[in-house]
Amino acid sequence: MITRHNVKKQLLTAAILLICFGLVGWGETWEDIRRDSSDIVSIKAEFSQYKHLKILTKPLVSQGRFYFQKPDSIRWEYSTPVKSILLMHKGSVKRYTQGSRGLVEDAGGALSSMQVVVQEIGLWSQGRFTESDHFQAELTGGKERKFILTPREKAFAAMIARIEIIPSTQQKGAIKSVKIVESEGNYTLLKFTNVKMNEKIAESVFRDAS
Amino acid sequence: MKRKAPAARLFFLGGLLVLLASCSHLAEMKKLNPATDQVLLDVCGSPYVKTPHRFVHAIEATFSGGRSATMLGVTVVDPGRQVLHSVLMTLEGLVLFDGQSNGATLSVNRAVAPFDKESFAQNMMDDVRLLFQAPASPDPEHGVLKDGTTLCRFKGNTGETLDVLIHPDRTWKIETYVTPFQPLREIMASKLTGNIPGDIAFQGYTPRVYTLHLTLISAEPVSGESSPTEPGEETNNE
Repeated sequence: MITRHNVKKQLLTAAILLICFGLVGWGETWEDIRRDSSDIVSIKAEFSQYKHLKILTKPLVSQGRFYFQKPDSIRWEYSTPVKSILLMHKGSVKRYTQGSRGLVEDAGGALSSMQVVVQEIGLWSQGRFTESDHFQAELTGGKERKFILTPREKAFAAMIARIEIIPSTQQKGAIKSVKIVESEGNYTLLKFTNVKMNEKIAESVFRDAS
Repeated sequence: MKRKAPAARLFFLGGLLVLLASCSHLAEMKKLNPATDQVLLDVCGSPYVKTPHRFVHAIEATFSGGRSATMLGVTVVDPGRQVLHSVLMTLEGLVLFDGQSNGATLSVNRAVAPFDKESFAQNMMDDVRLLFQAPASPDPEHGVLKDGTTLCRFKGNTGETLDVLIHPDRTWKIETYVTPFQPLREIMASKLTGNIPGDIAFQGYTPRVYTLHLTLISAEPVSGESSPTEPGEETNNE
C-alpha cells in the first residue's frame, strides 16, 4: 500500500538525517566517532530544508525543529509548509500530519517497517555506522572532511544515491551541511541552527504530538 | 388494488430524488461557435491558466479503507505546448514520482514503488491534465443553470462527458462521467485568488475510489527554462 511504503521511506530518511546530525564534527576515525558519540546525550535544533529539483527555479523550503534523546528518542517536526510530527520513543514510532481533519495520526499500519528504522537509529546513535545492514559508510579526508553514506540495498538505492555530511570545523558536534542526493539535480539540503546539546528535554516532547 | 410495500415506495422515492438531482444539470444547451462566442468560451476556460505556470501543493490523499498520506506536489503547466511536468514527493523531499506529459506522449523520469506501475503514471498524469489543462475538444455546449451557474459541456476522447461548472461566486467544479450515474472524476475549487484556487477537492471514482485534497503553497508564472540550482547552493552555504 502507498502509505506503508511511504512511511518507511520517510522514516528512514528522517532517521538518517537526525543521526547524521548528531554524529558529525567529532573524531578522525570511525573508532574516534564511536568513542565521542558517548558524550552526546541530547540534541535540540531548528532546521531548514531546501529541496532542489530541476523543475524548480528556487528550492522548496521547509522548516521545523528536531529533538534527540539518547538512546533512541526522536522528534522530527515540520512547521511549514505542512505541519507534521514524527515521534520515535521507547520502540514506538508515530507520525502526525496536519490535514483537513486537523492534526491526526497517520493511518499507515507500517509498524514492521518502522522497527527497521529504530534498529538503525540504535546503531547510528552509538556511532556504529559501519555495522549498518542498510548503509555503507565512507569517511573521506582532504581539504573538506565528508561522511558519505551509500545504500547497500537496491530498494534504498532506488530512493537515495548517497548522503553527504560535511562536519563543521568550528564547532564540535555541529555540521556544515547534510545533502541527500537522489539523482542529478535532485537533492535535499539541510541546515541546522540554534543547536543545543545535552540540555534536558521533557519526555513528553517525544511522546505527545501537541 | 394492492398497496405498494413501504420498501418499494422508498426505493421509488430514492430514485426520484436521484433523478431530480441529476436534472439540476439540465439547461438549455447551445453549441458555442469560436467565431461569435469568444466571451462565453473564455468563461468556460476560466479555471485554466493561459500561460506557463508552476504550482506547489500539499496533497492529502485518502484511499478506500481509510489509509491516507500527505505529500508535496510540484506541477509545471505549459498550456501553449500542451506540456505537463509533475513531481510527487514526501514531506522530507524524497521524490516518489516524476512524470511528464507532452501531448499524447508520457515519459516517467523517476518512479519508486508503489508509484512505479505504468497504470499509476497514466492515471496520475490524466488527473493532472484534467485539473490543469483546458479540454481539447472543440465547440463545447454552453448553458446556464437556474442558480446562475455556467455549464460548459465537452466531449472526451473516450466518449466520457466533461462538464465545467462556473458558479456565480467564480468558484468552479469539473466533472467527468460516462452517465450521470457513472461518475469518473469530480473536482471542486474554492478560495480563489485571481483565477487560482487555494483549495481543491478531487474525488476519483475509478479504478478505485480515492480523494485528494490539494492546498496551494505557491503559484507562479514560468518564463524560460528552469534551472536546477541557484549560485552558491552547490557549495551547501544556504
